[in-house]
Amino acid sequence: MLHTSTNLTSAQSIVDVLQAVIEKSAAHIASWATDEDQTVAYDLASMSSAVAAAAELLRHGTGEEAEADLALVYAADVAADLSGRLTGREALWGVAPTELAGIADQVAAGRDPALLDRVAERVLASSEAGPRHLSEDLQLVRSTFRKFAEDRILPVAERIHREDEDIPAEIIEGLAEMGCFGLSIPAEYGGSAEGGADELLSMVVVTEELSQASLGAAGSLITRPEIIGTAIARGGTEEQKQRWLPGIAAGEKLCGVAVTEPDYGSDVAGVTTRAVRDGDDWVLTGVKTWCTFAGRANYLLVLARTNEDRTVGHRGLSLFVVEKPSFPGHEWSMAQEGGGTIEGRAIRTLGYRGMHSYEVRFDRWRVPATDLIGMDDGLGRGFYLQMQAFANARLQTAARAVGVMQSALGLAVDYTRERSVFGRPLAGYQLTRVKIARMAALVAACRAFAFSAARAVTANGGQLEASQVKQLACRAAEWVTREAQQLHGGYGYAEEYTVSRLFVDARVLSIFEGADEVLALRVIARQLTKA
Amino acid sequence: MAEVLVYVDHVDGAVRKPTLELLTLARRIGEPVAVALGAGAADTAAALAEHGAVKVLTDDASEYAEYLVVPKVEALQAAYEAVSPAAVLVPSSAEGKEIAARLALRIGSGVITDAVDLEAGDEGPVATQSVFAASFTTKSRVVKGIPVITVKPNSVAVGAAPAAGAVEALAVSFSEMATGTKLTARTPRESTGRPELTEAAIVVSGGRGVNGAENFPIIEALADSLGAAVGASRAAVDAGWYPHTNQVGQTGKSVSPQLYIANGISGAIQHRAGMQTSKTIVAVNKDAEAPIFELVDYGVVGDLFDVVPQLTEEINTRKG
Amino acid sequence: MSLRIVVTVKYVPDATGDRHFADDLTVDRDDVDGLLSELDEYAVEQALQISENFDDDVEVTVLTVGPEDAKDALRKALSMGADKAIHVEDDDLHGTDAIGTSLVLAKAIEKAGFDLVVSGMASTDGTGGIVPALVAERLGVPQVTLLSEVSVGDGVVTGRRDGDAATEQLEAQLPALISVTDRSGEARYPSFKGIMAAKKKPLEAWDLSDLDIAADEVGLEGAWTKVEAAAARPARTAGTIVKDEGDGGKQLAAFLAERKFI
Repeated sequence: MLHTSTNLTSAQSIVDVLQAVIEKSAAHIASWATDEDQTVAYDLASMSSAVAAAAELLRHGTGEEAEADLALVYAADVAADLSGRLTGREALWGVAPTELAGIADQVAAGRDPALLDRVAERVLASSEAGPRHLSEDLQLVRSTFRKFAEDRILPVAERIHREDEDIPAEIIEGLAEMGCFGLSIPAEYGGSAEGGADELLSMVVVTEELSQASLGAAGSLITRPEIIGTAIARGGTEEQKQRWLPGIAAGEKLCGVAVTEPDYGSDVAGVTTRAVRDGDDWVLTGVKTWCTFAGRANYLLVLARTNEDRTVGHRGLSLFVVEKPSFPGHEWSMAQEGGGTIEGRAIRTLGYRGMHSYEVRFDRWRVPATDLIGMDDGLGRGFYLQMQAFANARLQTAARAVGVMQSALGLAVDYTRERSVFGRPLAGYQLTRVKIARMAALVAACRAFAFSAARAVTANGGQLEASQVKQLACRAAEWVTREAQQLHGGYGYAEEYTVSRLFVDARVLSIFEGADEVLALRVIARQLTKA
Repeated sequence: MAEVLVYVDHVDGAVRKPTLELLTLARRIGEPVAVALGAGAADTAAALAEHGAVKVLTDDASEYAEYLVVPKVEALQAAYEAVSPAAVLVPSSAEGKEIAARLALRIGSGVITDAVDLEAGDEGPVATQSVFAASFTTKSRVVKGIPVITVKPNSVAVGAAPAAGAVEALAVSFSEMATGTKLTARTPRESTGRPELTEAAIVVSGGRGVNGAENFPIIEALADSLGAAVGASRAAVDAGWYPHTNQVGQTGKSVSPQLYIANGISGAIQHRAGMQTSKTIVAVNKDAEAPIFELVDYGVVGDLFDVVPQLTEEINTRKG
Repeated sequence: MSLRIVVTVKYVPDATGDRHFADDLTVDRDDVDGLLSELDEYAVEQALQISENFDDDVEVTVLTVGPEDAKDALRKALSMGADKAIHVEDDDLHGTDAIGTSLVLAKAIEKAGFDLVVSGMASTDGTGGIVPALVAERLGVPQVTLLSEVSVGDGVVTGRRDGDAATEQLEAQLPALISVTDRSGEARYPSFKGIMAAKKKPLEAWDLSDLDIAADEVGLEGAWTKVEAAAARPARTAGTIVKDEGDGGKQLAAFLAERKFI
């Protein structure tokens, strides 16, 4: 079809030019200290994520018309965004205003409301952003978890959010039986990780399906075992691996992570929680916060300063696994003979409910030396071990964002088809259709990028891509859920309507697991300017 | 004139309504010869004669109650060999379909199940079926052997047509296969006194909107005011509010009564598949967007806890 | 003494998809997504439970007759825990009726070797429900159908049937054929390991010649019944919908009276 090849070519031209702009600008600002000159660095990093996604969306498709249209719509959107950020700052970016002139026609084609209308027509008919091109195995994974999400999670998702309830044991047991908690734990320790090419892709697919039903009650359940499992698998002694990993893989031992502190979030290397050696034990004292699922957790991963000399920075940190009973509810405490205590109190949040996030206070809590990951070899390696799990965690977070976006898109499609205003269904208006088309393009782009980032991480790379897709998908989810909510009119603001939950749930995505700005400035911009 | 075998579904001699419908349909293609088996078989003759049976073949061997399906197949096969009928009609119950199918295979005939109508055709009887959750109707014919057809309840109005109904003993000798599956225990269910769901002329159903087993009496009261059977949606049954034997839908029973009243039922395809061919459909639901309203001849958007009791009272008042 | 179980499953169009007839009056399945028939999931589940509870080795084979896509049904069953799969596929099977299908199934089951055949109670697309009985007839084994509970031991299969009129306990010697209802127990979700393991499990493909069946015994031409016409039911004309403002019940009663129901 004439449309198709033209649109593909146009999309490709746009992507080529945008990539060139990113490279040029990265080289230009390379000599800067991004810590000070943050403005352009932030925009550059953010745009690099979007451009990479546009490239992946193009690469991902088989060239049929629906995909060509989507790729062009997204590429043009990215071009417009970049153009806006460049305006008035061209010199700072090191990019001439005319550099985008060569793709003006293609961008115009991609922003033509008639094209957006055509895309919207397809999306409104299918509730899908576009074909997913999953292999048969991944399709089976997807349909299995989709069914589980529809049967077991959706019916309780709203109530868990509204009443700030604990996640029902049946959901955790069901997911445990399906092997979800062992996805990244090596097979020899009871998990299903064998280093296969499809494993991370499966994790992305599963996470998206579960998050589509509920971010707080399902989609985020496998992130913590991921982080802890990785830390133990890479840094633990053989005895520790045998002791801890099988229980985690079976879902019998639930996990929480206690790393962030009230005064140290993004700058984790500065944490102050102390671990002091006393005989065969380490004694922990300090306050951790935003510890998601810490109440129900049996294993709490704690990052603490084992070297009193603060000048050694992150090299003075070690990771502990604190074993505890699983507590329900919002408040819990435990005491040891000898006086040590741990107290947990849930922080009330707007959304992302179900797992609860706690402030956790350690007061002279004794941990056996055998529970320091790696024991003596693990001293001072805590920071590294923890960082290594980041690529996976970021990838997962991107998948969570895609799940939330897909849910919002589906709801927007349903509502705008049913609801009439001024005598016409909402879905019949140009503005609605343009929004739906752009939402779909975003979802498709983020999904394609998440898949390719998963492949990159599997191939032992992908650190940059994982950070980029996390950053992009999380910001995208804010916009998509906001628009879906807006399309619902007053109902979008009613607690009774799922879309209102999606809006508040999505808002956490750019805050946690690598705050948007920190990822942009300290990870992405640094990588771009290094290269 | 050709004879048509009609398998009799009876309980201790009391003939069930669908069998009478079969006799009415059989008369369109020939003279009905009924086959009644098991305890009380001979007692069926009067009712069968009244509705057109020229002969009633009976056998009351204990095997029919002691062993599953095959004895009945062999009896029907014996009847087939004795009568050489132009067709065999069997009521479309779960067991009826198994009997019909196994018989058809044995006599080398095609089998058509769940027919909703039957007409004599130039090349043999033509059966009408309702398929794909009642979105399509098909007309089919058997092209090998004689037609063996199972017919759903409520397919035709029963017509009185007095005939001879002469009772004859049917000689059946059972093969080893007949005693393959033994019935080792049987616990009858308590009868509710209401009509059987698939045969009833009126069905009143309750769904998720009924919100609890303790609320189903509201639905039952409406059913009783109309002399109707009670149905339940899958959601209500899965929640344990009503027995599975009353479930209407894809994994439950399929009904086609004169009147179907759906209360607190959204009308998802699961359910629709089981009641879509009902002649008149009425629904009460709180949600104006519920898909059930696309099917109805009359619908009330409202709380069933208000509407249904009021309806029941109004019906009882009008009855006087 | 080991036990060989064969589970027959069907790959069916998604009931929420748009089903219709093709020009030759066979079911047009092309555009519709398919899945393992829900009622057959219970059959797979019960076979797996029998396998888990049996004293000796059990091999669970899942069998389907269907087009290329029917492999998805097999894959799902394998990922639930079945040991191997058999896919009977042949262009000449297009348009096969229940009688023909039972021939193909019976021959395939015999070729595979069995002590117990487990089937679902009806397919969610045909609702004929007669194939299990026909297969039992062809295999010459007892049928114990519509069970909500089943167990196997000492060469005997026993089960409970919850009929409308009564609850019955049934028993038959192996080899036998059983069918199970949707009340027999929730079907398990495939686990991750199961999905991964399914890839390595054997999946054999057979065609009609492997089963010694001639093309004219099956397919449209071999059918013993013929569909002569198919027509879409006319859509129901929209009815009257009223909002209850305190007398909804009375208005409904008036409608019923008008239609002579009361």
